[in-house]
Amino acid sequence: MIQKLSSLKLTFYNLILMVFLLGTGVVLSRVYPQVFDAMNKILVIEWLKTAWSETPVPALWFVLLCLSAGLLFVNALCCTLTRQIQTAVRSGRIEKWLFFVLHCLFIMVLVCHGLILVKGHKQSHLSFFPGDGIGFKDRYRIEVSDVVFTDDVQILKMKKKEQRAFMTRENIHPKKNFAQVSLYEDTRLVENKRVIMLSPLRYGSVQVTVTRFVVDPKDGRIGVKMTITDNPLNMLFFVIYGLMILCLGLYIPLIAES
Amino acid sequence: MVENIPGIIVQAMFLIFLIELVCRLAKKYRTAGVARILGIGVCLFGVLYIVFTAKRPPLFGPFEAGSYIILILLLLSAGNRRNTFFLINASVILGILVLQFAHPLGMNEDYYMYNNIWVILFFNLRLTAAGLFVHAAVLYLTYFFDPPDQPKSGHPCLGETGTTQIRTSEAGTTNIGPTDNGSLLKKARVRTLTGAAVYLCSEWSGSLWCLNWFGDSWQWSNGFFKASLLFLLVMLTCHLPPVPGRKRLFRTILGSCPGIFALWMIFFH
Repeated sequence: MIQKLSSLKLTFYNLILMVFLLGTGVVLSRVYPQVFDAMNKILVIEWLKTAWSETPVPALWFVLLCLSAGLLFVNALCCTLTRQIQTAVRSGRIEKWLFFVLHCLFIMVLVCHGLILVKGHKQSHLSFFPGDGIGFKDRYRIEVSDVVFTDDVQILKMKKKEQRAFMTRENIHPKKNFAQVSLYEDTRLVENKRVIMLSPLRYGSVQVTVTRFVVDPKDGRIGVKMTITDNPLNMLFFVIYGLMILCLGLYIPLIAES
Repeated sequence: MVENIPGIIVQAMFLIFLIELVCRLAKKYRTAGVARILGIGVCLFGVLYIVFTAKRPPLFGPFEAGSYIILILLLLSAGNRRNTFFLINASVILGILVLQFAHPLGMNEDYYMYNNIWVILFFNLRLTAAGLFVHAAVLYLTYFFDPPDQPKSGHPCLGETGTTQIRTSEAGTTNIGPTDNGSLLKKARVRTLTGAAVYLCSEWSGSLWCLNWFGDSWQWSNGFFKASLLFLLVMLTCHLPPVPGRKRLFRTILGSCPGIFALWMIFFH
């Protein structure tokens, strides 16, 4: 059984299946754009609970993709812990060990990818204007005391597609536009930061991200759209992912020479 | 005039590489070599034009991507001696130029995020990886069209670890013959893996960009699926089972897939 689960044939045909499923995903993301928007707004596991009855085709596709990824995980795990480790021990050569470590790190990246789907907390596209606040995860609260946008406000009033042409480096100065955000943990102020685009507020695994600036159509006030996430796996994911690339980078010159 | 510069650069490159291809077919290697050097000069000028005009490295779009990938293909072709390789290399470059002609030629619209290091790395490394994948495809095609006479010592075989490996008795030689074919395949595999490493660096940077912009390290989207597809195609070429892995046509098609898909993704995304 382990022999079959660790076989290269299984890897190959499962990868072909994944190529097919991801290709289907490209098509489905065009047919059901709103479904994929919903998948990004909340944790996928939450989305799946309602998707079965509302949009069964993307839900079925998603389950098949997860099964295929799961099989790849089992296959990689079996192959690494049986064949690759044996080869590395037997030969003792550094490239064989790097090959083994590379696959171990790949398995860990897969695990992180899987766990990020089901773990953590996420609230997206929340609108905040100066003075607004919101509590989350029972013990945290964020408050926005000020929103400053120094560039041309007319750009914010345009439709999203039109905005793109005007949002040049000359017209938009990200460092000058910010939301002053305070983060409280059990009523205690733990972080206060000018949150600008691409530079979120981070406290432990909590992240408060400004996704864009908006104008209130009623009174012209400037506010921000923000996403609140709490995922302790993010840091781990980036470190393991980085180590995997490093390992691959070290492995390539060795096999090029051998 | 200045607005037409991208168009002039692409037209000049097309003419030069067409001359090179014709000269190689007519076995006029010296003239072909001169054309290639001229082509490198024009392509380099094109890339420098992008860098100095936009004040950033090439990122995406037909003109920027095409010129940058062609420059990588030209630089990576240094050291090769086979005429077949240069014939395929020049044909692929002409193909990329035709793809450029099929789209409006010009610089991309500016965007305020193009000052961000992770955004720059994401786009530019993706193009670099695409260049490496296309180069690997050229090597696989050379291996296909210029096969070994009798694979006595250099032939593809399956490694102990279950991954396809190339064994050659004189790895790294530039002699034309069976051993050279083995080294050609090995080179193709190393280039594919190098492309994969660069591509993963690009994706890593892109994930960080995504995290800083949307609060997630990745999002379910058309772009995410295509990016994952490219990586899976690379994985497929590195995990060939023994039986189909020995077939030259199968190996060539699969080995060329990442390069072809990368071009499709860049020009038709």
